[in-house]
This record gives sequence, structure tokens and C-alpha cells, in this order.
Amino acid sequence: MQSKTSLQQVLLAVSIAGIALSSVVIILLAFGLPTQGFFAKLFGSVKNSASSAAVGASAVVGATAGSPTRISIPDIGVDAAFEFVGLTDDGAMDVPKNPAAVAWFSPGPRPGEVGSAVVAGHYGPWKDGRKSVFDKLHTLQKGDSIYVTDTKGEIIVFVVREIRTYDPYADATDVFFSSDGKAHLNLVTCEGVWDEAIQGYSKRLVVFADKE
Amino acid sequence: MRKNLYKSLTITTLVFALAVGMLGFIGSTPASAATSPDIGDSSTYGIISSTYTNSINTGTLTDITGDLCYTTGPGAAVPVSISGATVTPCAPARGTDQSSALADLNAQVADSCNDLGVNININSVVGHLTGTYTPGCYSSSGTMGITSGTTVTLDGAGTYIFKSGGAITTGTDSFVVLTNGASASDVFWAPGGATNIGAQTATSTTPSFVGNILQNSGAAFDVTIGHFANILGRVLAFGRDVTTDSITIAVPSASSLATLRVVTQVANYYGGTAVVSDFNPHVKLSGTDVTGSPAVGVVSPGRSYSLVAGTYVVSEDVHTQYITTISGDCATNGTVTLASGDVKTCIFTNTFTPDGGTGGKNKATITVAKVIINDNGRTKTIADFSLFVNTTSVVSGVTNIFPAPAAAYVVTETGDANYTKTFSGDCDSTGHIGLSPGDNKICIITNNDIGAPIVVPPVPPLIDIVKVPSPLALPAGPGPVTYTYTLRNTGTVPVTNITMVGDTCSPINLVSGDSNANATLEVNETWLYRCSTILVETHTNIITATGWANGISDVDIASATVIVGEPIVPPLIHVTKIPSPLVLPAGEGMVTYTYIVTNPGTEPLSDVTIADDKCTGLPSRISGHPGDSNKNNLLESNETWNFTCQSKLTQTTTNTGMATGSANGLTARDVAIVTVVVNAAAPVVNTVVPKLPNTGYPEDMGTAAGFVGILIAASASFIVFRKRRA
Repeated sequence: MQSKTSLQQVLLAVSIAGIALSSVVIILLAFGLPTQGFFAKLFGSVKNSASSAAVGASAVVGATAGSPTRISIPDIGVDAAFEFVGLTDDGAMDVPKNPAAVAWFSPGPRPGEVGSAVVAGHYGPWKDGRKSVFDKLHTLQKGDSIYVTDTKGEIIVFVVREIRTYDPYADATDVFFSSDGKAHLNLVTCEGVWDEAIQGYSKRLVVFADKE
Repeated sequence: MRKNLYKSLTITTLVFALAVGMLGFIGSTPASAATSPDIGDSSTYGIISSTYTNSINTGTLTDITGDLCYTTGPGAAVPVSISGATVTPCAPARGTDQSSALADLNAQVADSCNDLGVNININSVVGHLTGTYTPGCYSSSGTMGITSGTTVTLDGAGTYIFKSGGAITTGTDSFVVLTNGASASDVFWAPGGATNIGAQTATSTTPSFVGNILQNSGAAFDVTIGHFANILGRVLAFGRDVTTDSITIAVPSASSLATLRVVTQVANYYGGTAVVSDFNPHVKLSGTDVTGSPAVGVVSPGRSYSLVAGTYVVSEDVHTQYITTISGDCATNGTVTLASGDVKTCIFTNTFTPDGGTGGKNKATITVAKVIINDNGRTKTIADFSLFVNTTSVVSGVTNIFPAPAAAYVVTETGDANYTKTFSGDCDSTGHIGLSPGDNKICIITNNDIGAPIVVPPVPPLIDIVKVPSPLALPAGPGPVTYTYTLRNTGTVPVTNITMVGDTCSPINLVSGDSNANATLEVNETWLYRCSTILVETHTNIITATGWANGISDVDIASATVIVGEPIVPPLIHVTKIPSPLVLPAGEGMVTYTYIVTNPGTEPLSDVTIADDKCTGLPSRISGHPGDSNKNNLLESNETWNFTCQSKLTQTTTNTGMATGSANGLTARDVAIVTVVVNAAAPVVNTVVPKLPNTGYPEDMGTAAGFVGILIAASASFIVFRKRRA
């Protein structure tokens, strides 16, 4: 009897909590607020602070390029601003806060510097119908051009070399590092199917581009 | 009247000639060498002046054979008979001619000049009691004069310089005469004040004064030429006033002298300390030193001698431990023939040979080269480490000579606790190196910094140098050699701070290649350097090229032997080594080294070998190489033999490849030093390859379904709860 009462009390509490949560979500949806950010804050699954201890100094290469300010990919109608990100606590490259912006992995080389500059953008429709910046990234083709404007006002042109698909937890050495002494720009977004369990898509799409 | 004067002059001249002959026995002050300065286009002018004043006390016109220029002229009332042009005002170039010629004269005076005393009359002064002078430089710190009625004789071909600290004044009826080949063009008067040329009682058919009067343009430097004076020469007084009075002045014919410049240079390789002034070049005619010879050596443009046409021999006093060679316009035995107007240069090169020129029998060399790798964020450079061979301080890339044979020299450095130290090349792992006579050993010290790896490991530089001497051999003996150095960037990043250090040739001049002039050796850029020297014995020249990129240095060393005195063409070999990849970003990995072996010389190479101190698997004996197009097992100059070697690297590694090949009994070798950066194998702690970002948003439907699910679950729970309550 005692145990039955306890079970009933737990179920009641869960039900109340479920209703309360649903209500909050509905309110959020109604006002167009970012649910992912909300969940992120609620569950701490995404952290925006770069782990400086893990990253150390940035690349010691000829710092000829300025920091990126804007990316333009005419072939897929992208013209977006940059956010700068580091690593999340679980060692992944962080993502832009704004689905319409892209994020540059700032511990790595700047776009245009020797090495692999990595830029991430969201994929998937926003709950209020807004599009994510890299919704059409998968339609890029070899030879398409990508333009990055930096703080010096220079426009650095990259040309798509190849497009690859990775598992979410695949070794990303090829994405973040290169040793051919050339400047690369690698664009990362998601693709595949949404997986509720991991709150993410099943694949990652990487567009490898080389400085023209 | 004129006949009488002529007769008396002749007698006077004879008397003086006798006196000169006597002087030859009693000796006179040795003259300093003097050289006629260049007066440029002013040579056609009899008079150059600011205000030119002329007077006619006897009705005889002043007669100028040559050009005249002035700012303010004498006017029509007092005409001048002139054969050349009258220019007004004087062109500024006349002033330049004058000042540069004066500067030349003053430099000669400062260098070496016979001091005749203060306020003297040169017709009778100690050492020149009869007023006779041989070619040379003569000075007075005060005034300089010629007593009335006396004669000064300039005896012999050559340049005469008379420099005074005050005015130059010649008395009435005094003469300056030329004998034995002396020429008015080569006589120069440089007063430190006004010039006053004395009058003649009667007109003279022979010159009463000779030479070029070079006035300073400052105040109190005016020129006055007395009545009836007869000048064979020039009055060059730009900016100053000139006054004449029924005189005759004629521009002399051009000098018949030739100019010989003697340049002395010293090659202090391997620690010699002599300087050019330690050497005493001679210029001799028929075995006798010419005026001013010998004199201490001077560097280019050298010491000048004004000499009459003829064949001269230059030589140099023996200097212990130095071998002297003669080049330029002189034959190697020092002979040079001068014609009138020639300007020739002879060069003495004095090369330090500590063993007295025994052909390297007791010597060998060690070149210590340093490589620094800052792949963990530290910033030391080559200069931060002091290098030693035994107790001798040495400089990276500089070849040092040491006595040989010797069992073991030891290479050391003042270490840095934040850097590891590795020896390679001819050194053993402890820096010891043995020497046999004639060896040219190379010891490489690599310093790698210790510290936390950085997330993106730096790409190291990669440079390659090849050196070719021309000619490869000097069978006839000592002679000039030109080395051509070709420096290439064989890596993937631009290389900066390029230094080229050669052991026996300088300067090493960049001829071409830096097309954008940014002092950066760009990827695939090729820079061409040249250097010329004179080799007196068989010698192996070693060049060390160093460059930097991303905090890492690379060094390449090329050596080339030139045979002197024997008809043997030495071998040359070159190896270019390229690793792939240059960076291993994730802890460890396989690297493939490619060795490209070529023959930049002319002699086919036998017994070609290739080895690497840290990569095993290269063939120990090479035969039937696919690059041996004519299948003769000889590496010809048109062949390329490639080799590869794979090595698993777990840490940043600098290794040294070496190729050797033989021809005509001699063996050539070349080294190639490359660094491959390995990101330290500690990914868990310090180096993380980021995971891919989670960039997805759930689709709207997916989101809605989730919420519906939550609602359903909550509602179901509520129903169950209510039922159980019921």
C-alpha cells in the first residue's frame, strides 16, 4: 500500500511536470524563441565556452589574413555573418548561436591562412519557418566558389574541391588539419535524419575548398 | 734680345742639368708618388675665372691659346687675343671639375707628400738647393715662392704636385722649366691662398711658368699674372678673380702618362688576421722601384701611379703564411705594359694559408650547422646558442680549419634546458668527430623545443642548394673561379631570413630570383647567387644556406672542389630530399622520403651511394637503377636517379641524407637535411582533434511530434493516476 501510494505520487509529479513543460514549450513556440538554446541551457548539452586549456595557441603560420567577417556562396544563396567559436566541453567544435550566421573555429587558422580553416553552419528548418544558413550546402558542386571577406576588407576566394559525409563522431583530423602548406576552407553542417536520442542529425557534411 | 735670353736660358739649363747630375750622386729627398688628377672638360680652358681683368701696359695683347670663361669680362676696351671659345658665365661643371681635382690632390697630399718646410722658396730649399725636382708631391705648410731671377727645374716624366698652405708667389724674371720628359699637363699647383706669377722684364719665347694652377674657390684665392709672363698651363680659378697684363698663356698638350692602379686585397679564411696595409706592393721599371714605390697596400680603387709608357713589373714583399696572386691587367707574373693614356689596374690577392701552402697536408675543416625547431611555441634562434669545436668558438655554417690528423674533436654548445640536442652529419651522437688531412667534415646540431604542442603543428621550411664552380679545374695553376649557387624552396611554405655563408668566397651576390623583392624565398622560387674568388691551391668550398619558416629553420650545405695545378676534373654530386608529408598532425605516421640524386658536374660518377641517418631501407649498393638511361652504372649529368625510403615517425625528426659519387679518383658528396614535424603524441591531454560540430535543427514536424508525445505521456500518466486513485 505504501509503495502504491509512492508510485501514484511520482506519476502525479511527472504528469504535472510534463504539462508544465509542454506549456512552456508551446509558449516558446508561439513567441518564436529558440528551443534548442532553451534545451541546451536546460540540460547543459551544449556549451559555448572554448576550452582554452585544451586548444592552446593558435596556428603559428604566416598571419596574413584578417579575421573573417562575412561569407558569400552565390550558388546556394548564402550571404552570412561570422561568429567565432571554440570547443564545447565534450570536445566538439561549437556552433553558431544564430541559425542565419556561420561560425569560424577561431583556434585554427583564419580563412586564407596556411592550414584548414573550419566554418560551421546550421542545417534544418527553424521552428518558425526560418531557414538555416547551410540548408542547401549539399547542393554545392566541385568548382563552385566561396567568398570570405576579412577584417582587412580583402575578399578571399575558395573553390570547392570535394564534398564528404562523416559520422558525427568520426575522426575529423582531415577536416581540421592539413600539411600541404596551402590555405583551405572547410564548411561543416549536418545531414541525414534527425535522431532524437542524440538531438542531432545522423551525418555531417563537409565541403572541402581550396584557396584560389 | 730674344736670342740673348734664349742663350742665357740654355746655359742656365745646362748648369742646372749638371747640378741635377751631381744630385744624383749625393742623393735627394725621396719623392712621394703623385698621380695627375682628372680635370675633365676644363682641360680646354686657359683661364677660368669669376671676374677677369686684363690690362695692356705696353700695347701687347694678352694672348690665350685655348678657351676662356668668366662672369665679368675685361670689356672691349682691353681686348684679348684668344684662339678658343669665350664663355660667359662659366658653366657650373667647371667648378665641379676644379673641386674634384683639388679633392684628389689633397687626398694624395694627405696620404704621402714631401714636406719642404714653412714659407719656403722652392728654388732653394733643403734637399732641392738647385731648385730641381723629380716627379712627386711637395708641400709647404706656409707660403711657397720662387725667388726673382731664379729657375726651378722639373726633371723627368711624371706628375708633380706643389701644395702650399699659403700663397704661391713667383718673383720677377723667375722660371719654371721642364726637362727629361716632364710635361706641363702633369704639373699641379694647389695654393692655400692667392697666386701671383711674377712679371718678365721682356717678352719670353719660352714659358716662364708651367702647369695647372688649381685655385680654391674661397676668398683670398685670386690669381694675378704679371706683365709679359708666359704660361704653358692653365689658370683654373672658378669663382675667383684673375688679372692678367699682356701675358701669353697656352693650354698644354695632353699628358702622355699612363695610370697604373695597384689594388691590394686580403683573403683571411680560417682565421688569418693581416690587413691590406701589412702588404707592400712594388712597381718596378727595369728592376728599379718607380717614384713612390713601394708603398703600403690599399684596397680598391687602389694606389695610383702616373707612369710613362713602358713595361713594368709589380710585385709584393713576402708575407709569412700568405700566398700572393696577381690578377687584373697584370699577368700572373706581375708584368704590365702601359701605353700613353692607359689606365690599368693590377690586383694583389693575399690568401691566408696557415700551413704555408703545403696543399692541405696538415689541415682539415669542420663546418658546424645548426637546425632549430620551435614546434612547441618557443622562440630561440641560432644566435642564442654558442657553438664550440673543442674550446674554439665557431659560428653556424662557417667552415673552420683544424690541424689533422686528429682522433677526435668534440662539438659542443651552450645548451638550453628547453631544447633537446641531437647531433647528425659526420658527428657521432655525442658530437665527436675525427679528422684526417684534407677532410671537410660537417656536423649538424638540431635543437628541438620542449613544451606543450600547439593545436595546429607548424609546417617546416625546406630549402635546397646546389653549387657549381666555373671552371671545375685550373690545370695551369692559380686563377679566378666563379661559384654559382642555386637556392630553391622545395617545401610548401615561404622561407624567410635566408643566409648564405661561404667559407672562401665573398661577397656572395644575389643575382636573380627574388622577383617580387620581398626577401622571401617563395614556394618554387629559385634564387641564383654568384661569387668570384681566386684560388691558389686545390680547394673545397663549402656553402651553408639557412632559412626560416614558422619558427623552424632548415639548412642545406653544398661543397665543391676545384683542382688547381693538375689536369683533373673533380666530381660533383647533388641530392635533393623531399619528405611527404612535412607534417604529421596526429601523433605519428609514415613519412616517405624521396631522394633525387643528380650530377651537376661534367664527369660521370661511379660508385654512387645514398644513405640516411634515420631512414633505413635505402640500397647499399646501386646497380641497374631505372634512371641509368644508358645502363652503364654511371650517374651522368643528364640523368636523375630517384630513391625513396619510408620511416614511421613518432616525434619531430630532422634527418640527414647523404649521396656520394666518384670520378677521376676523387669522391664528391652532398648532404640534404630535412625536418618533419610530428604533433606530439599526447592527444588526450594537450592536443585534441575537435569533433565535428552538431549543426542540426530538428525539423518542425519532429519537434511538434515530440511535444505531442510529451503531452500524451503526461495526460496518460494523469489518467492512470486518477484511475488508481479511484
